[in-house]
Amino acid sequence: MSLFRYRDAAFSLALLNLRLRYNNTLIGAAWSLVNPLFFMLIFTFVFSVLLPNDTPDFPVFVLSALLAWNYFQAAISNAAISVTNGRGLVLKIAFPRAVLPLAAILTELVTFSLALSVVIGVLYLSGRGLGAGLLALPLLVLLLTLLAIGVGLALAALNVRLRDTQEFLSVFLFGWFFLTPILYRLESIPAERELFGISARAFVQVINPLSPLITAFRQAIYEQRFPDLALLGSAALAACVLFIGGVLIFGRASRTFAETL
Amino acid sequence: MNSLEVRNLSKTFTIIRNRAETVSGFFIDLARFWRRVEHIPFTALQNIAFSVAAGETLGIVGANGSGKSTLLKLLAGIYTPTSGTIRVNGRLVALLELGAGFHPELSGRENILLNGALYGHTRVSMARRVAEIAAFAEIVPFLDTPLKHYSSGMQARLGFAIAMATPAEIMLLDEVLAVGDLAFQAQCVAKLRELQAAGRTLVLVSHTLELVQDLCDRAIWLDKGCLMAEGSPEEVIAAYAAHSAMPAAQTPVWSG
Repeated sequence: MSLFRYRDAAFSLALLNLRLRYNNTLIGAAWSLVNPLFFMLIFTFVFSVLLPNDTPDFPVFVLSALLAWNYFQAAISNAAISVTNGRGLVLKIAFPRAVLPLAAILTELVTFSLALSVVIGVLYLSGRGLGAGLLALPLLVLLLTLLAIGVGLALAALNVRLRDTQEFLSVFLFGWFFLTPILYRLESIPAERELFGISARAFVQVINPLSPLITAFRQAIYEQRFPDLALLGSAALAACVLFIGGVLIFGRASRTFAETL
Repeated sequence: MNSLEVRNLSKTFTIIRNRAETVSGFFIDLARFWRRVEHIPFTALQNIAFSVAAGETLGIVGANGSGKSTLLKLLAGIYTPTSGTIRVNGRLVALLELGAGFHPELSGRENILLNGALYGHTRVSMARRVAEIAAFAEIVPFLDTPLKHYSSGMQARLGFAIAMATPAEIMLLDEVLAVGDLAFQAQCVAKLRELQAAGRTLVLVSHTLELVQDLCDRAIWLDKGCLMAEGSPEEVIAAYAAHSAMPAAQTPVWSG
């Protein structure tokens, strides 16, 4: 059963998700922008009024990483519940099970692409381009999507077996958010700070596969330059390892989804 | 050539008692260092063997809980066999429930595209069949109405029409004719005869024994997961009816 033959199933389900999300809403697709903008305003208020810092253009600094994070966390959260929510389909129709998490991630990819395009458009209009960073964005979006697919597939399979995976995930994501250089730079962590015997910077980099990719997004959008190649290398490595891991886990677990659900 | 070949097929479900079903439960179990997990095997199908020749129509009869639907799900690839083999020659489509995969918020047209896609057809190829499907299901005026406003009969007709517009070489049908009014059922039977004439292989699960007798070339009877009889529909139905301690003449028949 080739996944390619069922590509329109993922597409149709993503279309359904988008339609349900934006039907009966006043401002429709603009909602996908409201959320990151609101977060950006809050963080800007906190970090320029309450806890001032000297980062220039702080809103852009935050937004450059926050958009990517929002996409990632929405993609893996929705992928995690996709198979359990799709129980009726899994039990009655023999399509490749990966269609469900892939449709969930595709939905978020569409929303993210819209939000990203608007933000980039606004940046150009305000006279602040992306320079060579623009060239790197398609690659960064691709790597982030691979990473989300890997993690999302594994979580979807886990949620079939242990149903409160989704509950744990929301707590886990809160911690993950602060362990990712979104509100700060990796370099802002004091160099002498140590965690578990290694430097805190190295710790965040090693333990968090998302860290290099988020930093690369920041270099492309905020620093207006092509991301460091070493950074892209580690981001690509993390994306490929997690993608392959997720595919293997899901492939193995999906054989008995119908029996378990 | 055989379209389907089933050899020594068994399916055992394991009902697991006391196993952690949650992440929290899993950690609690780990902390306790013991888990009293009970595995209760339940054999749904035992050593089933049969084959279906290309172009043949096979009927499957049996009481509720005899394993008919489990067998279809195994043939469809939804379940994995515990042991034994299933060989499928040709493209197989299983219709286990009409309207599985329908979404109430989508229009009839959108549901046709979505449903087709879930069965492996592209949206473009489904879009070409929309008119034909809507005509057969008699829903042309409501094509762009959300499905939630359809009557259940209209939904069932749409489900059947989609299935018939995308025929595969081998089709598994689970009780799909128990829907719709008499006129639509007659239309469905006519459609199935068309498929037979076109040389499709059909596997039909039904409690409507008259239908099995009318449409099927051969039948099998399952009881409590075992293959009890195989042969002409008349013989198999007679054996099944005798076993159910009911004279064949009084066997409940739901429709004509």
